Amino acid sequence: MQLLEEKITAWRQEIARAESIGTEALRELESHLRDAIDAELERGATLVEAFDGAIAQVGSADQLETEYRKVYPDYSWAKRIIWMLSGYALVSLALKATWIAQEVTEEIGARWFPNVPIALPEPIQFEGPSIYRPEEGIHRLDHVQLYVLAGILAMLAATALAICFGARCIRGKMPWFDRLFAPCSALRSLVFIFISFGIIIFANLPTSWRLDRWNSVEDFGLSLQFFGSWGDLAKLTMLIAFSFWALTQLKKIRERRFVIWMFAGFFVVVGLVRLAGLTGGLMGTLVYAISPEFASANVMSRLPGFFYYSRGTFAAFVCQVGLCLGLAFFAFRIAFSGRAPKSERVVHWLWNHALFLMIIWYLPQAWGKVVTLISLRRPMYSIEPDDPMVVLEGMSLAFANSYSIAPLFAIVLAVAAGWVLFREQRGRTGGEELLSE
Amino acid sequence: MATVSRELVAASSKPLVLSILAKKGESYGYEIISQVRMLSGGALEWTDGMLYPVLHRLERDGMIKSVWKKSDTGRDRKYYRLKQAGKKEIERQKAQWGSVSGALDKLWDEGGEPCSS
Repeated sequence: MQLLEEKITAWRQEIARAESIGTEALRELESHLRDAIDAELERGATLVEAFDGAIAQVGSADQLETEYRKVYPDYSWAKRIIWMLSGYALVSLALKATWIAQEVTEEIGARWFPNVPIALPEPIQFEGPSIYRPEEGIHRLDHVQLYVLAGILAMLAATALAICFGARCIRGKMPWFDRLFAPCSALRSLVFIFISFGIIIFANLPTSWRLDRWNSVEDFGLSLQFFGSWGDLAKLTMLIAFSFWALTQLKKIRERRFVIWMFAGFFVVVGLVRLAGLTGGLMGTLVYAISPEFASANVMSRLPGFFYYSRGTFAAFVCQVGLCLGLAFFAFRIAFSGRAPKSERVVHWLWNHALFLMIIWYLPQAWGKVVTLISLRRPMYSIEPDDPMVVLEGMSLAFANSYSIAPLFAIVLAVAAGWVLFREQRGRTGGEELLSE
Repeated sequence: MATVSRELVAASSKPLVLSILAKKGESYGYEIISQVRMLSGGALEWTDGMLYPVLHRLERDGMIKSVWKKSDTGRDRKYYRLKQAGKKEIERQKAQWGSVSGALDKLWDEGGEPCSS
């Protein structure tokens, strides 16, 4: 009898993966299966024969999925959309937590570390962020506050320690945790995190590179901007790390398709938001081309401030849109087919070359800085605010950064999911449809 | 007895299920499908999984209603029962199938070709 229960459990798990079959339908099918098994047993079949016979009568998971989909064609999409929203919400919440952690670190840092100018050897000196505010002109920032660096280092150390400590404590006790870190040792995680974050900070010191001094953040607000820039890219790093982890879990994902829907949802939202930003930037460019005065008076003055990003940043945004939508496509493809397009060797390659991909991700930005410097032959902060190219870049990036569009997408998705569920509840009109191919 | 085609099985599923429920008052999936098999002498080959989408569609269309109950064996079962709209639908189906059957009977009883040219 235990064997039978095990077989039924395995069958239930298999059927549960069918997207059109809900919990109640599954319960009903299980009840049916048990009836069918009893009937077979009464006819004198052995347990195994009875089970196999009943399964043959009920139909395979694929057959059931096909039949149920005829009645619930949208149910699978409702499920998927809900998972997609969950994925987006989950990542957003995680990201929000990182922002809060940043602010807390800063508060503590500001209290305990004095504002000290840092003198670094010339070859590794950089320029800090510069910010344009219409009413104040362009800031040139003179010092990096020690607490900013301390905060970054503290967060990195805390993350690495948490991973190492957590891995040591949990390993062997929680199978999911072992699987999570299966592709990398704790040491490898540590190295990965340090190097990748190092690249982010290096590639994203938000202005041009200068060798004569390390400029810095003047006040708390500006340091927040510095952190904001760092956090934004940390977010993208998380995205990449998250997707690599997902890819290494393909086997699991094949079994639990909702996970891949979650990824797909996040990639779609982020990709679309970036796309919307770029579109906004192009619109801004158009407005500026038609009437620079109108653009300056109505657009620029209403925005709190502009970062001067390099052209490369703009290129990076284009790459990010491509990458996000590409990952979304990849996720959708896995979700629909239930398997990776190619063998898992691809996945292992991706993981092993994560760092390489990180560099590719940020290369456009780094190149942009170099190109800007060479083409302008002057430090960015000395560009006049009405320099058309700078204004265009600033506007494009201001739009591109409008993460406020994200909730809009979430609302659209939520409404779509709600509508689908509402239709399921109400049932469609007619009742004339017959089950046919 | 010749096996009924897939299309006809699908088309006849609704009147069959409704009529079985009308006759038994209340029934559940396994019993309904056993009835179908018995009545048709095996000519109507349904996979069991095919029945439930039909039942769910009928319920959604307001023709039947369902309730979970404990069976005699203590197992949870979902029982279906006909609603007023279902009874009306049976009448409609009777008329429709009667027309089809009547037309075919006439043609076939006469022993002639369905159409001569």
